[in-house]
Amino acid sequence: MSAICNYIKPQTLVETLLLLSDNDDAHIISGGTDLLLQIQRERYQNCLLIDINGITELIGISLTKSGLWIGAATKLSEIVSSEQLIGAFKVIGYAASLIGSPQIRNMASIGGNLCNASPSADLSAPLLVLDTQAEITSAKEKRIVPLSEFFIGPSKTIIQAGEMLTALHIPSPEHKAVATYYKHSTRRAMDLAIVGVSALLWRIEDKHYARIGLSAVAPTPIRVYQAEQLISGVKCIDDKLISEIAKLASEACCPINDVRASIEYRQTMVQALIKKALIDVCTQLGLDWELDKWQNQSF
Amino acid sequence: MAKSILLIVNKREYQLDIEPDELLVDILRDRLNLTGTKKGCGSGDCGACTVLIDGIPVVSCLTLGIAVEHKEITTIEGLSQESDLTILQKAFVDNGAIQCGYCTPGILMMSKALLDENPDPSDEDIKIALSGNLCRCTGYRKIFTAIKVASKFNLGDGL
Repeated sequence: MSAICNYIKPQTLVETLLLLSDNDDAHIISGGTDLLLQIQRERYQNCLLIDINGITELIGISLTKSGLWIGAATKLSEIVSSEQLIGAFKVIGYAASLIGSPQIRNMASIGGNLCNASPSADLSAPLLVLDTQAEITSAKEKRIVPLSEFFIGPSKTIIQAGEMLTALHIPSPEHKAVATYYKHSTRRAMDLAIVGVSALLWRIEDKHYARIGLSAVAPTPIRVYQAEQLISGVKCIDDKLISEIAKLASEACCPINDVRASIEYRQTMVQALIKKALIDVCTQLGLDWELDKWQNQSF
Repeated sequence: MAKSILLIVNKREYQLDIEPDELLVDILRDRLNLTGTKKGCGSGDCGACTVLIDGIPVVSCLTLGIAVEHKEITTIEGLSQESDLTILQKAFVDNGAIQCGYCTPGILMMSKALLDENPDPSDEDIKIALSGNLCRCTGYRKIFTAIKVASKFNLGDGL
């Protein structure tokens, strides 16, 4: 490794926050599966690594009536196998199961996956549709920020010097909601999403509401609010509506050309995956009779 | 700034001066001469460097040595007792699950972790468990067979 780093493993959150406030060159390390590669690529030099493994205040998953709490240092493997993830929250465990490999999931944390701020982070889209709130803490204060405001660019978040992500608060959907996540990648393991689509659907009386989150199609993971509006309050979801939503959502994307896919391919695939995701959540909600005509149609 | 730490590898204790940026795979291979653990990609993709930390499989190329002080580290050298191969290792030999052998230590560590947790894995369970271990020779079929054979033996069905 090319950078020389100092390393400290504090025992408590308070100690961690003091170390963070006293050292401008400090970086939090949990699994290190992204950070160590970046250090090797000399993105960071002479930094202090603060290892948060073992700080119990930052680890765990707990479900209450108001919602789900996940500590930032919770390993992905714990999230994958957690029995606390019920109903729409199951999508978090499913998305976590698509990240890396078993070894990587034993090391990497949910906080690391988000703080790395990859536009294609698998947990980002499902957590966005679940209206996740990020708890950001410094030695002085704690602030709660919607995840939709957390990412500001590739590898960039709103976390300031002296602050760290400490937990995620995911409110319980008020009405029985269903969720899904579609990841398009060439391999099922150790691969990044070419396009990621998550959808959440719920019904109040006979009206439907949805949230749609996308990853790998913009500089940050995004919600597509305008497209979501098309479904808001609608009684009957049909193929025409789903096509319109997919088209409008794809227009909100600004993907890049890279080794994984071209702009055009991503724009096409995001539409196809939004349709699939919406049909999936409609089916989960028992709406399949309205979608018969889709069954033999290819994307 | 080097720090003196205690590493427990295969139940043996080593007191070592370690730089904060030294990777576990390099410490095992270059400092402790435990060269059974292979360094493949160096970026966590290939699984060749898989070791167990407190029984849990991780990639040692993305693990800082300094971060695993006092933890139980198990490498391929720690699988067998003295010169006897384990049932799992014998199953790999008997079923031709080894060709060039470079991925084998990592795959054996991952397979051990799988069987410890799930003594009777399905093909799908094995597929998921080995999804982070690349083998470019065997096509995985003989590896799957070896793990199945070892699991049947462990379950008392005999070889």
